Amino acid sequence: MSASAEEISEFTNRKYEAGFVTDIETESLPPGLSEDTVRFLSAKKGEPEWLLEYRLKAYRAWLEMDEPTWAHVRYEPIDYQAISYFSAPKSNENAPKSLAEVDPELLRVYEKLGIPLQEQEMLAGVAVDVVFDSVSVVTTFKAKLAEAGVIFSSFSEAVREHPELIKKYLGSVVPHTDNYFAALNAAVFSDGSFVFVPKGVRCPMELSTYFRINEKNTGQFERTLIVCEDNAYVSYLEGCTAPMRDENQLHAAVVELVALEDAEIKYSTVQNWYPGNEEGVGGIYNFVTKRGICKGARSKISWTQVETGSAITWKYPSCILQGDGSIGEFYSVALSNMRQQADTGTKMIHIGKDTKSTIVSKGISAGRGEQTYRGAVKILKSAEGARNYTQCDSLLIGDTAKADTVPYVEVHNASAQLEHEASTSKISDDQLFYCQQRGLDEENAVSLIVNGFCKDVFRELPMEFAVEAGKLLEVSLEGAIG
Amino acid sequence: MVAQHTEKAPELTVAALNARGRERFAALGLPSTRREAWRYFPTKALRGVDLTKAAPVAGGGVAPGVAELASADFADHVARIVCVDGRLEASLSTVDVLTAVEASLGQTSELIGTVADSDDAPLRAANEGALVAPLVLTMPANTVIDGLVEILHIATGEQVVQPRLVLALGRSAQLSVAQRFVATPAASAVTYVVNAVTEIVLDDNATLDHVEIVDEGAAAFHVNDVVARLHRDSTLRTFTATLGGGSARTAIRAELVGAGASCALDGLYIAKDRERYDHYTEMDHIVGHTDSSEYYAGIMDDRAEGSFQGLVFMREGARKSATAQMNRNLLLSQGAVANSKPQLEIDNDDVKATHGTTVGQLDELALFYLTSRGIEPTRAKAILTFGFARDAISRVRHAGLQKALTTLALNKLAGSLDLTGIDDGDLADG
Repeated sequence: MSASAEEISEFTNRKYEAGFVTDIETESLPPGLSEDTVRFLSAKKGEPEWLLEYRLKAYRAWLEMDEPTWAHVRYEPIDYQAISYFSAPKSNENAPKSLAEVDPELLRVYEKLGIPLQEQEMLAGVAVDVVFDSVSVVTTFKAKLAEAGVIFSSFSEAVREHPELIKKYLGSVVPHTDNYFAALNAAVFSDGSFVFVPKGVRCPMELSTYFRINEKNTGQFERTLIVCEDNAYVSYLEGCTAPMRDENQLHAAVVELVALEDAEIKYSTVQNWYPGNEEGVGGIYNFVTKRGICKGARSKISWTQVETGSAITWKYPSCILQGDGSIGEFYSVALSNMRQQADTGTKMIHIGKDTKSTIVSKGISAGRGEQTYRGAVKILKSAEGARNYTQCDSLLIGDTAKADTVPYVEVHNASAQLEHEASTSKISDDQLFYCQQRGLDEENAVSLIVNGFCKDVFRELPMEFAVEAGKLLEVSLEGAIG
Repeated sequence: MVAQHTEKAPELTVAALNARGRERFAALGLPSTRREAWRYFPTKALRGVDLTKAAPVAGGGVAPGVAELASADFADHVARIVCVDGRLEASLSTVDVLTAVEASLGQTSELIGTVADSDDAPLRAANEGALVAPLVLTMPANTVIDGLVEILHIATGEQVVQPRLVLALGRSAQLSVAQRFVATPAASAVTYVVNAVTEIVLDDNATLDHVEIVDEGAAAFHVNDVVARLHRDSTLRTFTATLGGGSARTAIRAELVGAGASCALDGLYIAKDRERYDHYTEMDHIVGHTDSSEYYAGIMDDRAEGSFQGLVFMREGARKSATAQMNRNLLLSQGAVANSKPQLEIDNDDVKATHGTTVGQLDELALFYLTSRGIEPTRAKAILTFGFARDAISRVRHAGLQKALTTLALNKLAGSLDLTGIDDGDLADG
């Protein structure tokens, strides 16, 4: 899986590959946030009254809340009035019906990102719901999915076509009052993805969305909702890049997963947003609320994430294990280089009997990067026979890197069994020496060892993502070694 | 000759300390569970309690029950310092061994309030505000006391006791101390508050064994806030045994400021009924080549709640340092609660740091093994539970203390398990 040295140096010389601004006319709202902004947004999207009410409720709740300060991250205060809350490609009305109709400028963007849609359609068999800024522009493979009964569409489309489902599940896992950023998202969410897999259906392909933040000064407020009915299965992939720029961009997404009886949802993320330059200028603020509920018995939710980008990451994909015998998993590789700060982890809340959870977190800190694993495992009184295994390891590269581990273990049931292990260390000199003695140079030796360190997590990723993730890690680590 | 370390002290008189402490406590108020360090230890019980005053001096001689407690053997001590309601009771103390090595037992030291900074520590500030007669034990350089010095705190009634202890060991001095908190029969039946602060300074190459035994009355509210500063090549080994008291918390902060310093914090807590025991530790590796380890074991029965928070700092200068931490919990009944929060903050890449936590029941295989040998399941459970406690106690170095702690642990577990016939001898080493 390890890339050759040439490949790495090629990557490095290219600097941040996705660093460009695409010049497509967009229709943006002037910066500022008020009830009027919320009303405008809702009207613009032709939303029903109940959704507007939901947004306004969230907005009012948000006004009453304070920005959280407990995370180990530092940043200049965000001016929420300086953010533009809506931007959509102007060609919205004559939306393309096939790739041939897609704006060639757009296609060139994807090409630069290395994800030409045609190839993806043919090679990977992956349906891509591309989010370019805020509005979904292209949705492919829809017919195939529809045949299986799977709904995979943009959020706004789902609001129009399946309002009953949205009404039923929106905010059911992450309520609009959950936290500061989730409330903001609920008030002003732009668009996102909706997946519904009906009873007994195994989604015939991996679903994938590429997010891309493009318009200057535009916060992205994605909303993703995935519902799996009884006995259904879906694997969802999310990957992101963003153009280089000097202003910090706020990204406050919300992802909600609902798994009913015997259902399984696998959610994988490769996140490579612009991390800012060596001095920590620019870069994305990634303040995301991700949570899944295992509502039905024997259901399963599995989060896998590879976080290499963003200036600041604030993200805790969590599982509420309500159904008896349900399973939650969290596999994470988080890398912070240069001046990146990552405060990430998970929460496993065991409610049902015989619920199981596994947490494997690998943090890598290099340069002046700061890394915090923050996790909670709660076993409630009702969770007879609950089981948790947690392992969180940190690897430090360079004497200015920082790594913190903050796990909470709270057990209210005597039949529970929990194990938590954590370790922090640098790359062992013995391992390095062995590799070098076998003819690898230091850089390759380090990347080999780091890849090995992350193996437990990469194994959980779908094949093509695993390869991408390995390369991404090597590129992200460039300059941190030696 | 290496110069003695001097802790920079704004030399404050007791009156000045009182004023500072009262002012800070008034500003801070009682710690709420929103403070991370107090997350698992509510102080609601202290609302309405006047923490600005120390317990009044009892008139009319020694309270009933004190003399008996003060003279009863516990763990083969060579010296015993008795404090009643926070004040030294010289007539009940035996300190000949101390005077023999020219150790001084006083009530003042420029160290008071410097190691344990009351700036952002509410109850520490309260203690400072109510400070009357601190107990200061100073060991000159190169002195060794062979044997155990016991500091016995006896509570006699419904009041607020705020003892302050300073242990200052000179270069290469060695001391083994047991700090034991008990109550007279009268005090056992009432609610009283102990808000203790312990300050420890170890000069180069000094060694201190500190064992705290919390054996307070059933309704007592006990807090001991220990702060230790470890200079070059010094060694601190603490053991906290929380075995009695309604609510009890021991916080230990160890500052490793000299290379070669080594610190081990161990503990055992056994809680039942609605008891709430909390252990908070902060291990601060400030310089390089320092070592630390922690091992805390908790057994919770009925509706008791046992908590452990272990924060380890590896500062930028802490290269070549190592730390290992372990917290193990056993829940004996539905309704019992275990909380564990081991936390690492690492700012240097050239360190080794590990921690682990387990919460669970006894090992199925071990239980099966014992039952396969014809031992009744309930008996097997009792033996293994006792073994779990004994494993922690074996970390105490002093043989007499080990034995005494084993007896206390057996007594505490007796309500939950059938331990008849089991004693330390059954499980003695070898």
